[in-house]
This record gives sequence, C-alpha cells and structure tokens, in this order.
Amino acid sequence: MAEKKGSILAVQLLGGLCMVVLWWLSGYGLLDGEPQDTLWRFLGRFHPVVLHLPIGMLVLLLVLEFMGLRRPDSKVSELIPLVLGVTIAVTLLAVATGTMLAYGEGADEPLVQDHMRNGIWLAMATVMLGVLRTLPSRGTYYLVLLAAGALMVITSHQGGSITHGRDYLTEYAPEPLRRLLGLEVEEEVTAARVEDLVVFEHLVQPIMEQNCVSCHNPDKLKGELNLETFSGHLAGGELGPAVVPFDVDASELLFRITLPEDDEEFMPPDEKTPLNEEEISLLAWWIAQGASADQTVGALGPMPAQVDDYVTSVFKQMITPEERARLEDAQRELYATLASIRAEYGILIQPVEAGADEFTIETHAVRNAFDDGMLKLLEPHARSFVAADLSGTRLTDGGVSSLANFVQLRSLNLSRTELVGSTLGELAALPDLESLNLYGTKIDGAAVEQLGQLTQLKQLFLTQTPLEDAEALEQLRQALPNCDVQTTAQISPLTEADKTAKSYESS
Amino acid sequence: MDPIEHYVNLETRRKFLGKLAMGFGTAAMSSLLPGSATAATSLNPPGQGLSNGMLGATHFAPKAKRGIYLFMSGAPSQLDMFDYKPRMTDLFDTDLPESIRNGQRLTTMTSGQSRFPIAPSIYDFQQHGKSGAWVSELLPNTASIVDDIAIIKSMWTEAINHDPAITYIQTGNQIPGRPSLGAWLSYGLGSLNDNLPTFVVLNSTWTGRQEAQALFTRLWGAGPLPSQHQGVALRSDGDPVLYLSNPHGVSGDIRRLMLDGVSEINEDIFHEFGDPETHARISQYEMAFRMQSSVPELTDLSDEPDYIFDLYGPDSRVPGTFAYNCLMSRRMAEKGVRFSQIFHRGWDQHGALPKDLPNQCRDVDRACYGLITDLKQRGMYDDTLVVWGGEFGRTVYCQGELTQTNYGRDHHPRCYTMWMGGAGVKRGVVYGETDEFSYNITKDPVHIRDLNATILNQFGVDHQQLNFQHQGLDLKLTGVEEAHIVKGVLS
Repeated sequence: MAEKKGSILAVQLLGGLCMVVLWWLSGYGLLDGEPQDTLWRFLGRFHPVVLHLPIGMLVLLLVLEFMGLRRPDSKVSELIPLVLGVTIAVTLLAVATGTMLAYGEGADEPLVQDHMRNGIWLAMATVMLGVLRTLPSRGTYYLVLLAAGALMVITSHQGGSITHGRDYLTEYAPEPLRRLLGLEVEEEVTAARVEDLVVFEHLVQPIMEQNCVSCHNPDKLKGELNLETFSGHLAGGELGPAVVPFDVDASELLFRITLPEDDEEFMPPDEKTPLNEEEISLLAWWIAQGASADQTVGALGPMPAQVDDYVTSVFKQMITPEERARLEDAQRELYATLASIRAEYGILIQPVEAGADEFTIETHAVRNAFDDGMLKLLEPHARSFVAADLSGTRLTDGGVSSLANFVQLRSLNLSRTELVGSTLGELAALPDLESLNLYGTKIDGAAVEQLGQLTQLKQLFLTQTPLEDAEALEQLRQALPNCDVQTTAQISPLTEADKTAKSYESS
Repeated sequence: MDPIEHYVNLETRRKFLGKLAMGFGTAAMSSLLPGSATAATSLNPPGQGLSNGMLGATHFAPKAKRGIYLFMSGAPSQLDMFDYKPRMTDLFDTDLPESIRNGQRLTTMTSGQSRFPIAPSIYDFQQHGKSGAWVSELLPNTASIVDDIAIIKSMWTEAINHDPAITYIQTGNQIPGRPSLGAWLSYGLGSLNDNLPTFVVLNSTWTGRQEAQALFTRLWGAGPLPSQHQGVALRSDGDPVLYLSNPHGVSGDIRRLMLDGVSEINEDIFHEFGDPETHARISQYEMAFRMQSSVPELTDLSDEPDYIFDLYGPDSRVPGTFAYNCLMSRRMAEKGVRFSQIFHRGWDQHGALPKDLPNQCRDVDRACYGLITDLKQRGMYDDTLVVWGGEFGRTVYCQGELTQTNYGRDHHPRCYTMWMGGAGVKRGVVYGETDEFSYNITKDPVHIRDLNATILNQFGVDHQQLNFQHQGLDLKLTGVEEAHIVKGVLS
C-alpha cells in the first residue's frame, strides 16, 4: 500500500515537473524564423509520423471513460490507466517533434505559433489528466478531459491548415454549408463579354491564389507579403511594394517570377510550378496599364496577342456549361452558313486560325465577278470578318456603304478596284480599321476630304493613284497625323539611276 | 483525314467481303493510329466547309498569306556578297589554320589539295541603311533594301554536295522522295485561288558559269503526298504549260464534254480500286481546264506599265530571266498563287569567281530590289514572305590557283548567308555571326531545318503538326530532329 502511495506521489511530482517545463516552453519564444540545418530538423520531420497517435489515443480514452461511466463494473476501466499513460507519452512526443520541426524549418508564422501553443497546452492537459486521475475525486478530471478533447480538435485542425492551407477542408464544401459557415461563396461570373471581366478580380487574383497565396497570406505572411488582397500587392513586404503601377521593371513581383528557375530568389520556390508565359504576360500588361483594382478588360489599353489569348481562354473557362454549349452551337452554325456562301459563290472565307470566330475574305478566284451586289451577300455576317482582300474586283464607290457594316474589319484591301473614292468617308464607321489599301485605283485629289475622315487608320496605301501626285496629298497627311500614308516616292528611295548602270558595268 | 480511314470508308460491301481479313485488319489498325480529330478539326473538318487544305485551318493566325522563294542553286559565295571579313586581306595566300578547319570533311574537289590558301574577297564592302548591314559592291540594289529584310549570316547544313544539299533544304531530307516545302504548304493550307496552281516553279536563265547542276522535278515534288500538290513548273517560251491549249479543231465545250466523260470513267476506277491518286488525277485534269483561261492571263505581261519594268530592271522584259520571273511571281502572288519558287542556277564558283560571280549577281540584284519594292508599294509586303538563298556556302580558302585577281571557292556547309523579308519578318536586322574566316558560326546558328520551321510558322503552321502518314512514319518537313523557330528574325 505504501508502495502504491509512493508511486502516486511520484506521478504527481513528475507531472508537476512536466507542467513547469511545458509552461516555460510555451512562453520561451523559441521560434526565430531561421531554418536550422541540424539534427533538430531531421528529428522534427517525424512530427507528421507521430502526431496522429495522441489524437487516436485521446479519442480512445474518451470512449473508455464514457463506457466506464455507463457500466462501472465493466472491465474496460482496467485499461484506462494504461491508455492514459500512453496518451501522455505520445502527446509529449508530438510536442517535442513539433517543436523541433518548427524550430528546425524556421517557421514562425502566426498559425504555427498558435498551433504550437495549443499543442503545448494540450500536452499540459494530458499530463494534468494523469495527475488528476490519481486523486479520489473525478469531477475535475472529467472536466479537463472534455477540455483536452476540444483542444485536440482545434490543435489538429490548425496543424492540418499549416500543411494543406486554411480552406482545405471547406474548399469543396456545398454552397449552403459554405454560407452557413460564413465562408466566401464563389459567385458565377455573369459577364457576358470578355470586355466586362475585371482584370484584378477575374484574371490577376486567380493566378495569385493558384501560385502565391499559400505562403503570402495573412497567416503565413512569408516575407511580410500578403497577396490575398489588392492592397497587399501595393503595400508589398520586406523588399518594398510587390507591384508598382505603370512600372513593370520596378515591380518586385514580376522580377521574382521571371528570374531563371534555378535562381535562389525565383518565385514560386521549391519545385512548385512556375508561372507560364501567358500568365506572366497578363501580369506585366496589368501592371503596365496601371495595376488598377477595379478596371475591366475593356477599359484598359490594348492587349498584346498573348494576353488576348490568355484572357479569352480564362473567359471560356468562366462561362457556364450551358452558355458554352450555346456558343459552340452558334459557332457551328456560323461555320456552316459561311461554308455554304463559299461553296455557292467561290469566295474564299477562312477562319483566322483553328477554332476562331473571326474570318478573312479573299476574292481572287471570283475577282471578275465580284461586284457591289456580291458584297451584299456577305453583309448579314459582316461582323464576323476581320480582314477582306477584295483587290482587283469590280467593286465601286456604291459598295462602300456595305463595307461600312463590316465593323470588325482591321484590314481592307481595295487595290485595283473601280473605286474613285467619293464615298470612302463612310469607312469611318469601322473603328478597328488599321490598314486600307487603295493601290492602283482611280482616286484623286477629290477624295482627300473623304479619306481625311478615316482618323483610325494606321496605314494607307495610295501608291500608283492620281492622288499621290495631287497637291492635296499634304493636306491629307495633316488630316491623318497618326497614319503612315504610303506613296511611290516614299517607298522607292532608289533615285540614283546609276545603280542599275553600275550593276551592269561588269558585263 | 487519316488515309487509312479514308481508304476504309471507300470500301464497298462486296470488296469488304472479298477481302475480309484485310478489311478487319485495316479497320482495327486505323483505330490504333493516333487520331487527328481535335476540337478544331471537328469544327472545320479537312476537305469540307471552310477548310482549305488538310489542316482545316491554320494552327495560329498566319503572318504570311503567300510566299516567294528565290533559290540560288549552286551556292552563292557569302564571302563575296554579305559576310564581310576584312582581316582576310592581310592573310592573303596564308594557310587556313588547322584550328579553324578542325578536321572537317571536305569535298573531293579540294581534299587532295596540298594547302588551303586564304582567298580574301576582292570586292569592296560598305555598310548600308539604318541597320548598317555590310553588302558588297556586287549587290548595289540589294544594298538599298537592307532595311526591309533580315539577313541571316549563320545558316548551316550537313550536306557538302549540291544534290543532297538542295534536296535537303527543299524537302527536309538528303535522300530524295520527301515532299517539298511548297508541296507541304499546298497540302496543308490549300489554294487561295482554285483557278491557279497553289505552288508554281519558275526556272531562270543565268549568265555566270554555264556548267550548272541539273534541277530535278523532285525538288518541287509532292513525294507521297497526293500528286496535285507538286509544284507546277511554268515554261518561259511558248505555252507556259505544255499542251495546255486545246488542239486545233477542239473547242472548249468539246474539251469539257471529254473531261466529264473521263472523270466518270476515273470515278468508276476509283470505286474499284480506292486509290486516292485517281482523285489526284481527276483534280489535275480539272485544274488544267481552269488554267486554260487563267494561265495565259497570268503570263501576259502586256498590262504591266513601263515603270514596273523599270523597277525590276531591263532584264524583266526578257522571258525566262530571273527578273522576268520575279515579276511573274509578283503577278501570281497578287492573283492568289500561294507559293512560288524561282530557281536561278550557276552559283557554283569553284574557279574564275571574279569572272562569273558579278554576272550572277547582276542577274538577281536589281530584280530582288524590284520585287521587294513592288510588293511594298502594293501593300503586299506585310503578308508576303520572301526568302533568298542557296543550299550551302563557299570556302574562304581557294580552290585551284590563287592570284591577286583570280580565285575559286569550294563548297562550305558550316556557314552561309540567306535573307528573308516581309510577312512578320523583322526589317533591317542582321542575325548570327561567323568567325573571322567565315568558316564557323560563333553566334545564333540557324540550321536549314530551323529556316523551314520558321517559314511554316509564318504561314500559321506548327511544323510539328503538319504531317503525313507514309510507310509507318509521320513524315514532316522538318524530320525527326529538333527544329527551332528563329525568333530573332521575327517581329
């Protein structure tokens, strides 16, 4: 009997000592954020191996105690001291390895600190359970046991969050449950047009969430940087702002993701998938255009082709399956209609690339038959065409009013047609028209007033027309300051007649 | 469509039962072959709807609608035209250092020489244009367009003799029998104008060394591709295409009636044997019929004004010259011929280079200037790709006797110069560098395979994805070795 009293006292003393050590550990501030290449780091990595033991043991303990309470004469109660002892041992082991892991890896973010503190408290609670179970009164014991159970749930969830990210459990939770938990509910993007996408919210943010936020969030705050919010981008971290509006070169974020992959500073680090070219080009474009929080794709400046492709692909992912099916049906129908026009009239109609909704027109094969009337056949689908080569056809000034409906046209070749230019001003209705070719037509000085209205043009070919010799040409150049007006004099700089002569000298 | 699948679809029930084992065999095999039915082709299946060529649609938006390839057969001397090596003057008649030649294999024409004396170019070089590209006095007109083209000084190939080398650059393989670049373009992209051939070849007269290498039709052949994709070689004398005119007493209507009859018989033959070449033959007859009216219009230069002839130089009035062919090529590009290739021979200056090379250069110099300038003034330069060059380069060391005024140069595959322009090609750049002997490439090498991949790229074609199943291989223009798009010359 004395022996048993002695061992109880030993347990109580040992427990007290453990409590003191743990209490000291929880307040010591061991984590300094510096990785250690020591044995601690090696041993620390066994934390995930042992951490499930205290969870299981504690659950088992709760079950046994519950069964013992319901049927006090049951034999299961005899197991309880053993289970409790093992629970204490494995909890201490988990705390020890966990501490080594955090210290060794140099983790010091708030979530790790909380997890560690709660782990230590959990260990203290189990040790306390060991001591309390030696006392005759069990009231406090049961209370602490329940508290330990609750603490175990919280602590293990925190641990899981460190490994898998905070929203790992709820990421695919059904929408009603997410609402119940007060979590953010993904809104379906209702933007019907690509132009209505908000650049930051719909394009930049998803890239960040995919690649950056698992470390740069308010909990982990790697490098003091939070990329979860817009303001976090501008505020930046240890090295200053991550994003500097209008200045791609000064933006640390872009610098880090475009370093060589084997660079120590390269982001994202450690074998994580680097951002691809399109994603980088989108971020660069967004920054160059001022890194706005709420501007839409349509409101920002022109997109390089690569960015355009990326935005379109994101948009296609965002629309609902029904909408996508509808668009695909519409596309198939458009292809079939255009194919029937092509088959019937011999006009070459081609998608600009595989799967595109934009088409080009070429009329070489039917150039002698193609006139204003034939152009009208294409009018119902005018919006589908981005380039038209109508060179050498019988098109006249009367056809220009039809062309004014082809509002997506970027390039229009009317060279060697029967135009004289009296109606060309109507092409001012084509906002994207960049290039207009009037080579070899009969347009003359009288057309200057009409052409002068086409301020959207970047390139205008007037070579071999009466207009290029007209005095009014200078007037036209002034009316179109942003347009490269090409004339014979400009294209053919070879005025030294002797160049030919020289090249024939040797014969 | 997959050719085997195509063939299986053609099988009649009777034939299927007659050849049961074979029928099942091919059906099973076709399901094992990698399918080409992507989302894009299901939207635009090859040979139907809007599709224009076997690709259905280009892989990406093309920069080039058309191409004109100026082929200098025989290998022009880069050392006397574009690749300026001033230090060679000091090394006149000294031996080429072994460290530069580095044991490279030579042709049997010079491998027996006791020494390899350096022959500096006797031609004056100057920098031209904003790009400051060096061009020799042999090319005064080309020199005035250097700001419109990209000069690649670092081309290379493995072949050291003409026939393998020209077969290699034209078809992607030194062994004859593969489809040529133009045939691939015709097969993949189809025609811009069904009344004209998609791929036209023009052979030119020349005034340099008259003993020149023969050109074989396989250089513009279709290989195993359906034969309507081979280049149509136009003649410069008489009928541009032989036997194109109706015989005396045969009217167009009678010809039409006859063709319809022959077509019917051919269709029967096709149903019996299922050989796709029968369809190729039918389409060739039809093409010939349409060409009866379109080709004479194409080759009748009487509607060209004088200033156009002035642009291309006086030779352009003489049928068969390179200048005349350049003008023809421009006419064809304008009327919707997808790809034309002009061959100019006589560039093989093994000896008497100072006698022959100036004539060769004079043949092409003014015409190259004229072509580029004409395309520019018509607004066609933005979507027409122009390529100039030969099958390999020439050596810095002299073949035969070296004097102050006379020398010859042997074949040199390790570096040579080509240029390209138009359709998405950077203007006014000089790409790649060679060592001071113009012997080895020191920066940005461009294999002829890379050039071919780049040409396809400008037409909106991924060179990896334009292929043809033949004898168990997926044939590609660029072959099985890695090819790189030469991004440095693209804008």
